[in-house]
Amino acid sequence: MPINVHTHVHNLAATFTDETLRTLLDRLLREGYPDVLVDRVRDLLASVLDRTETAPQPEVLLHRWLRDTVNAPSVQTYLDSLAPSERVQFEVLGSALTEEIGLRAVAQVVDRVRTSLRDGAQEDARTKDLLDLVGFLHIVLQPSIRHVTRRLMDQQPDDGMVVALTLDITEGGDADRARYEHQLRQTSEQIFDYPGRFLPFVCVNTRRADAFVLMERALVAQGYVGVKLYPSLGYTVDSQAMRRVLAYCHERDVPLLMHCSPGGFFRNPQTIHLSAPEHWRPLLEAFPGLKVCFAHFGGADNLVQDPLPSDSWTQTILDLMGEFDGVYTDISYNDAPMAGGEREAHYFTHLERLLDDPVRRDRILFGTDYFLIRMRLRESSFWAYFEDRLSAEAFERITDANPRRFLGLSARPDRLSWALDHHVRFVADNSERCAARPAPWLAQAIEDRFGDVTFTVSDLGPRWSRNNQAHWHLYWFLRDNEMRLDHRPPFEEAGSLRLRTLKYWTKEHDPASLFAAHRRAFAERIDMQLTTWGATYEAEYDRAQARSALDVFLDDGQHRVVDLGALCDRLYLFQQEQAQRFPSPPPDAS
Amino acid sequence: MIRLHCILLVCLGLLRAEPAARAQTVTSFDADLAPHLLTADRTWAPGLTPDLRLAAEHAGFSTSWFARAEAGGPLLLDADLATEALSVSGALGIARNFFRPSPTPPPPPGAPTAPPPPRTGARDFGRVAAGLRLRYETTQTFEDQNLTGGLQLTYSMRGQSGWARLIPSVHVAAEGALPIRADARKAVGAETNGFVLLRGMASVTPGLGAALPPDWLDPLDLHVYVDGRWEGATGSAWRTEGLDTAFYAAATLLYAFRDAVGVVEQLYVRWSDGRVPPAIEAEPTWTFGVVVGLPARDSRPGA
Repeated sequence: MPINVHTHVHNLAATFTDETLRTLLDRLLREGYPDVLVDRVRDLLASVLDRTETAPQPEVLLHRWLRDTVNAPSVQTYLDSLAPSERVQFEVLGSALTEEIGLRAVAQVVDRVRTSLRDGAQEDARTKDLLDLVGFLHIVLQPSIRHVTRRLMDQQPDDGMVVALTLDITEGGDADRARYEHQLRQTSEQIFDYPGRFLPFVCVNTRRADAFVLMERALVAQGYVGVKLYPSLGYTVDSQAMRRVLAYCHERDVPLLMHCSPGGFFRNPQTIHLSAPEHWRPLLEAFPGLKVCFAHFGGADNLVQDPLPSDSWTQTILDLMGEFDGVYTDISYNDAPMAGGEREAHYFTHLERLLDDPVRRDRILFGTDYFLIRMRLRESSFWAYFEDRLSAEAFERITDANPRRFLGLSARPDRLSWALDHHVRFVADNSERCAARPAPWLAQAIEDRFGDVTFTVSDLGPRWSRNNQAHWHLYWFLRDNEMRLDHRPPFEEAGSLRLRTLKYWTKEHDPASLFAAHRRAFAERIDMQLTTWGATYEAEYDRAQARSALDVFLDDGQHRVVDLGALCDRLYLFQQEQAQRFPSPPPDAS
Repeated sequence: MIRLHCILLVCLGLLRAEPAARAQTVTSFDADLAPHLLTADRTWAPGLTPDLRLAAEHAGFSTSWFARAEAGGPLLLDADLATEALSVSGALGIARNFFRPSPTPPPPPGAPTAPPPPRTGARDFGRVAAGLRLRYETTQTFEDQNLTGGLQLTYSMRGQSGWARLIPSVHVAAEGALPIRADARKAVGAETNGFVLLRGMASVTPGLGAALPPDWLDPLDLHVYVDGRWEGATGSAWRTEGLDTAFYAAATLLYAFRDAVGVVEQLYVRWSDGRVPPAIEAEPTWTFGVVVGLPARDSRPGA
């Protein structure tokens, strides 16, 4: 069971404010993207954040953005300075996004961007190009955490597990509380779509007034299994508030994962140092055995040097690993060696040595830093890059055995950690909401604790989920209006029904005009019922367009109900999604 | 067939005048095929009923009006046995759906599934559409072709339960017709001028299998279709031959597999009698057919 211990699934609207957008743009600049493009990205993302109504779907936004960007004089000047191959790539991308070809082309291009091809993984790792920027924006612009999660999980190995880290970027006090609670709630919901494969960590930012309360609630009642720290957002780890958090985690063996590289997000340049590992020595002495993962190995720029800089964060982490049993590290966003050459050779010399070191080899973890890593390369390319360069044993160690140890995921279900035990209870209590069967470890743990718990799940997994209001509402409409009374299957089976089994279907036996009338009537009924139940239209659709899209779709009886559900998801915005995209403003918002 | 397609394209071109943002286009050739064997007067003929969306179907409608081009009709290898017409039509009109959505939202996803929650309470009273239709109809041999245009009224109803299943969908039209080619009329010495045409058709699918006890008969159903027309002012020779009125009735017993058996979606046997002008043959026929489903293609814009 490969485990990725470092991912993010928060979309732009769920996490970022105008101010924190700046830090994201800084990261793009540090990645080497030119000012002219970052300026265009700023305009794009700011326009999304400023929206008070529904934003168009990501493909539509990217379509417009790329078209305008290609034609912008400043970008044209930039293109003149590019190497011919890269320029051609950008211009081809731009020309494919004309109105004439339209959204289908955009979807295909974007899909190609995010589709990982194993053969292309090496090339993807070696180079950073404009497609990486488009791919990154495509994720950031996703309308909800659920959408980002789906993209992440689609790229994991079949039985792969992820640790999803929330992020609390706050001004302090009660600021943005509703936004953060919304992020916690929506992230927790993803557990139901991938039970046993999605383990969230709750971010603690002690600038927030009730950070401890939110953390405790997340761990006890929302399925969270660990704590994420990000001190460079503007708080110190050696404070009274943080010691209270650490004592709580220490007592219950809750793992912590801390951002630990000079890059990433920071409140201002002076706060970068707050993420340095050297602040932890007194804390680790005070809480012996406390599990802390210092992420990013302190910055991969150190590991590509030989010898390792003695005053580097990486060296400090290695020293702490030697002194304290609970200290871990991960290789997330370690892209520094990917350009090849000596830097790559040095990096893997260090890594292989450490994976042979009996003191440290069991505490190095694999993580990708999805979706931020998409600025640089695809998720699957990151996996492939390390799998190809490490021995099978070493790769298995960092992706399976070590993460299990860190998470407290014992091979024996009766010996799960305190947080995982609460996670098991959380899933069992909400078994009706699960869209897939639990992973084997979770199924066993539930059975051991609670006996026979029923999971009424669809074989279609999250593609046909009770937790998706488009699917759930469509099912109820079809059940009550379009399925024969003698054959109204439960939700889990209904997704596989073909449209030709619904009662509107008379295509083979009625004249075209009569069948068209049935089909149009059906399309209208779907629209009338879903809007009566509170659905509104996605930004690029109105009532007539939604009905027309349904009408065209219903003409093919080979489509299945699950496909119709996906179409309704594209056309309509349901109340749950509205809440996902536009959380209530915080109490102090003007 | 080439002429059939040309007229379809003309209709599509006219509909292109509609605001593009509100329109949808089916770009694919539909993969539903219904190969069948038809017998009439002790003669057997293989046939095929493809969905003739060979170019594109451009359609759009708002909450109150619609515009659409359609084509359809069975093709037989022995065209002389054909009792139905091929047609291409374009329509413009208004529609009103009498569906009453349920105000009661679905239960929360976590609600117990047994016993099943009650129905949410939507009511369906059908849909009425009225408007203008321009239609080209032809025999398969193209020896008799008409261009018709006029007013139409369609009531569409697909009842789910009880007596509602027995309510037919009905289409009536009053049109003027202009023969483009009229070999049959000439053969009987009839005039080939334009004429008035009244048409009516109805169909119903009562859900036969649901009324029968065994579960495996649930997918069984009966589809009944009738089509009648009366042509006015067509001259005495045509009336004398009894060709100014036409009646067609078909009853289809079908078994629609919930999961396809290979590519076979449906088996059916159909009895029909009469004719759909401009077809002249009016023999009783039996048709034994299957509906073959090929993988669906997604024609949604942006998909």
